[in-house]
Amino acid sequence: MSLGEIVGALRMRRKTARATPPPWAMANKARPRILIIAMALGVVAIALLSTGVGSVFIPPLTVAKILLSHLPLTQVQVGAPSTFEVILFDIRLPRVALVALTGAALATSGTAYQGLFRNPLADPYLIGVAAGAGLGAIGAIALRTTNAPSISAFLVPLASFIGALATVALVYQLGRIGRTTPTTTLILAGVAVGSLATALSTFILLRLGQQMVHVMAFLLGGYSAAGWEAVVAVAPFTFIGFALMYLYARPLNLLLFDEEQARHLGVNVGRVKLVIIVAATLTTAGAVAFSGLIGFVGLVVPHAARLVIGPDHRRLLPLAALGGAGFLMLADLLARTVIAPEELPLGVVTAFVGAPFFLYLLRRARNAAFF
Amino acid sequence: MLTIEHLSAAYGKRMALSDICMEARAGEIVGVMGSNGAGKSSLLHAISGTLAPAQGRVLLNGADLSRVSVDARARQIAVAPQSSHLPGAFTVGEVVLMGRTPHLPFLGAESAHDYEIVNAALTRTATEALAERRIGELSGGEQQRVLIARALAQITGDAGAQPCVLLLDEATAHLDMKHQAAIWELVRQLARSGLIVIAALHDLNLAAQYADRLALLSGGRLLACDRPSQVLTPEWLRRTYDISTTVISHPLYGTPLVALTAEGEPKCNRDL
Repeated sequence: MSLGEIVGALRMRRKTARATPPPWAMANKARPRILIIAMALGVVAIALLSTGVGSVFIPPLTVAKILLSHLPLTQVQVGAPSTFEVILFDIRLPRVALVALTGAALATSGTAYQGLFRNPLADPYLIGVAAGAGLGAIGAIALRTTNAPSISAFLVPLASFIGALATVALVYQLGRIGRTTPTTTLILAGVAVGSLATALSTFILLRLGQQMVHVMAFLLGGYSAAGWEAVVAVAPFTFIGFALMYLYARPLNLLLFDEEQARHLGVNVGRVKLVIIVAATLTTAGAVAFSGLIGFVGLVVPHAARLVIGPDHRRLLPLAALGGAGFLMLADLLARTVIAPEELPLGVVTAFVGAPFFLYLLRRARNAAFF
Repeated sequence: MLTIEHLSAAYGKRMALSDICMEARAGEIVGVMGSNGAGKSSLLHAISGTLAPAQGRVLLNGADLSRVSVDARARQIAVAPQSSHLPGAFTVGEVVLMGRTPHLPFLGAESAHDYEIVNAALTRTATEALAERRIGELSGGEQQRVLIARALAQITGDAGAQPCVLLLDEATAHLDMKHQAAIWELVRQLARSGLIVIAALHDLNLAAQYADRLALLSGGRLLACDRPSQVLTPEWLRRTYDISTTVISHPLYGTPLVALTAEGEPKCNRDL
């Protein structure tokens, strides 16, 4: 598209702005907005509750007051012990923030993979991306533990991203038949490459010997070591990945038909696929690097979001991000409280909740359209 | 005017089209016929731009399509495919609105102008009552109308634009006769309003009734391109499909009616 065309289009848009959409479009605009706002409020509520619960309980209202008092230009009287602030800022908040980012990342990348491959089963785990990311992360962790912590914390997500990207490229090449990528071969290749990556990870783990315990905790989604450092390292992966996916939400909608129809509608299919794959892989890698392997979030949340808001990725991606964040924060809350003071691995909780829901979806899918 | 000049194209090493020369004018329906693998879909793909020509070129209103951007091409050439790959949860209105994609800037939203065009496309295809329904709930005939509406929304441009192309790829192959006829009546109306319609189809009698001219393909080559009464003859049909036929004249319209005949001894249940 030339600069002239863009300017022309913008000018036309300004002239015809304030478009009153016809009734059939109105019905589909108001409800999603309400749903997304409601979900955002729900996520805030869950976050307040989640940061409050622990060995020392802080009421959600007090959490809100403490947080507000730290914002500039506000004057809120907290009236709570100052230890609350320390607990909140040094322990609870970074963990909850990391969990929320991870949930949002897994849910949005699952949404994007499902749309891109037109397969309701495609999620970061099934196509092997998460295993590849895990391999990268474990490799980096192994390197850190053997070579002292002189290596930056950013190495882990970076290695994770490289592992994930290599996996996607390999799976995509293996799954390709001529010019097309049938879903069955793609999933089969994903499962095979994923198993290989898992096997390699296990091998590295066993070679680590004494250090193995830490990495095992990582593999099952342990958050005990979460600090602000991890949040800062993951955030760019999640936000950049999400922004890219959201920018390409409309062409992704067209890919739900098939590649040929998308091409006929003027979509540069190759570029859209590349951007979506890189973006979804980026978010997956960031999440896996610091949270280990947490299944079912990328599978269950997108479907649940699709049920309530429809298949349009421009609304689906934001709702899935919020839903993933909320879902994983709740799962983490359970993981911390069910057998307190011990903790359940987060992946165990998501499997307990996710697997039955997924089976329900499978039963339901027989007489309903997925997308 | 769509002009195809010495067009050859291949999928990898497999030759799909060789040295095709033909043209199609605004207002007419050109049927593309041939047995499976003869190159019908390849010809449509070459016109729509999803199959790049190895040699020759395709010109629309004098402009070489290989030099036109993907967006600009999509604003002039739309394809109504078979309704087999449809994400059923989108509403009809949303699907038709997707036809406006090549007219929208990358991050722009649809304007009132786009909604007007979509409404007009829904009205012309008699699908406005379905606008809020999910496309997966519709019958095959209704889905086909929606895909034609999407194609119309796609090639509706600014006033005074040149004639645009509507490509139909076996659009009615899976429909019953009533819905086939209804779709073809609609396509004829659209063609008469100034579109260039090129349709790959299998049904010889539908082709005879609705196409203005027929292009016969065999092995990627164009055997003939002429009026149905000229090419729907036992001789051309033998060369195209390798079948024996008897062609009679439609008792009401005088168009050709094609019936299969058996080689040698009659094998039909004539004596029953």
